[in-house]
Amino acid sequence: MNRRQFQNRMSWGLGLSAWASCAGVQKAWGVRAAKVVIIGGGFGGATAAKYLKIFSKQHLQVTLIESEKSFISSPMSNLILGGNAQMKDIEFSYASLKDRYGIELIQDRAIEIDFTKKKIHCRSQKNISYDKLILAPGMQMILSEVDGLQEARQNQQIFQAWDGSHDILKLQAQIASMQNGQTFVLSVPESPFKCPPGPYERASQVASFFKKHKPQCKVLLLDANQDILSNSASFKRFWSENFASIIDYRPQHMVTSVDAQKRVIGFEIQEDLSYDVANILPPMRAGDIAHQSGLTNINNKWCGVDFSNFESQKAKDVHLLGDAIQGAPLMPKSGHMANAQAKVLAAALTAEFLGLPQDTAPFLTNTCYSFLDDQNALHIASVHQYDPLEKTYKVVPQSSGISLKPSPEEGNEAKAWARHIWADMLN
Amino acid sequence: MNWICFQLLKPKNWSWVCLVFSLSSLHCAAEETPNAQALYQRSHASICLSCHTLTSLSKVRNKEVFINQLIAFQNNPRKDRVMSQIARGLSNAQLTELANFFTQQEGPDL
Repeated sequence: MNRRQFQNRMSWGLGLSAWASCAGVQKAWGVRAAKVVIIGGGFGGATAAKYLKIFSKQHLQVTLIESEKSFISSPMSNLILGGNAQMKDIEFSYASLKDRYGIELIQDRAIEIDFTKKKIHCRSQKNISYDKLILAPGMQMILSEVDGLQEARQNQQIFQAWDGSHDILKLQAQIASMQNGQTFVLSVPESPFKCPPGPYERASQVASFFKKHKPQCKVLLLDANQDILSNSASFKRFWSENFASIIDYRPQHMVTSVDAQKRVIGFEIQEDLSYDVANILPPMRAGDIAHQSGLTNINNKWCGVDFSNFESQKAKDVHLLGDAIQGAPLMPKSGHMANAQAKVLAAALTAEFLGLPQDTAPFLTNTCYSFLDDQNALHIASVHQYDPLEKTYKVVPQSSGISLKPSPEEGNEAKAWARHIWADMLN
Repeated sequence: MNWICFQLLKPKNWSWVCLVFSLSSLHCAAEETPNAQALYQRSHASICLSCHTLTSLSKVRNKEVFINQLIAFQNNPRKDRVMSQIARGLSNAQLTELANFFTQQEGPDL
């Protein structure tokens, strides 16, 4: 055999073996053609998009449909009301998801889903097909459950500012324009709702603003629940030490009506009250696209899922995340929880496409921080372990806990947490 | 361009074509074959990245040191600190899995 013959045979041999090996890997990663579409670019949806690309090593096609151009964080948004943050601190671009991970970004609103044809119809008339669909539509406030609230919202008289939008600036403007001595009313709906400590943090932030700039103003906090839902003792102690003359907390006050012209709110039981600026949070349910698609099978409000892979109890190959789902016991509707669920779901879908067995031991973590003024914060945190026998998540008992008291140290940790989780979902 | 194609079609150059193809295929074959253990180890580790960067968690290269740090969080007298609560929620098997992953992690990407 001469040199040329040897070179020829070696090249053919190498080529054939490499091709065979490559084909084997490609077969194993036979997910190249599979397409996952995600509706909703919040903490759950954006994280799921990124981690599907990471776990599938870029083999999956991932499309994210989001109606907004940029992501606005609900966590930390209350700081704007206290004058302790600006919009630029909580608003971020989705560009990295496209540029760094190759995720297809579609700015549009999904308005209808055909589960049989596996097609999504968008407001722009575009139809998008999928192999697997992830719905992360967040929650929808049911304005109609408080008489007069829909009209007040349409007339721009009352803003909820609870959905990660620029409405927070409109609410801030209303509070900033109040005369010293006027009353701000914040009403809390019955649990469950998005971000359980959020209303109490909001009351604290507004009180913090009043203390500095309008010390005669009041915050009337009307809670439909029996008590503060998170860190109750710490909130109450801090309020009595710092905002005793500002915050008036009234539990078991369920707002049932509002007259935005007369600025009067009505209750299920108590006498009517007047206000100057109101922030009425009505009962909530899963986001519109999930509700209108018939997936809200729990109390006609929340979506039931199989916790082994977050698949809808109502539609095959449709998975749900975050605020929209009926959580397992003690599972909060929080950004952190949606972020953690998204990673577990991304791994579950990647495994399914690859024909790998399901993970029998996934776990989730949750942390919610609440700022009580410009620097003091407190937290609630927990670990949730999947139980394959009962097919649900359970809180690991020794992990569940809260701050003993708010502190500036936790304020710094809260800001670091926010920076990290935003980067984790978007960068 | 036409000249290059013409040259590549000549039988005497097929071995070169084959060599180039084989090298590119070997690159593809070098890609990790997926397996459940690796996928779930990565997925479990990703839970930590809600609060930490991969770079900071991968700084410790010794597994025992990593585990001991987590055990120190579990035993922290300040039971109300977030990381103490999270660490107390993890089993020994989970601590070991996370230590295995982060101490062997190379590069800035998961």
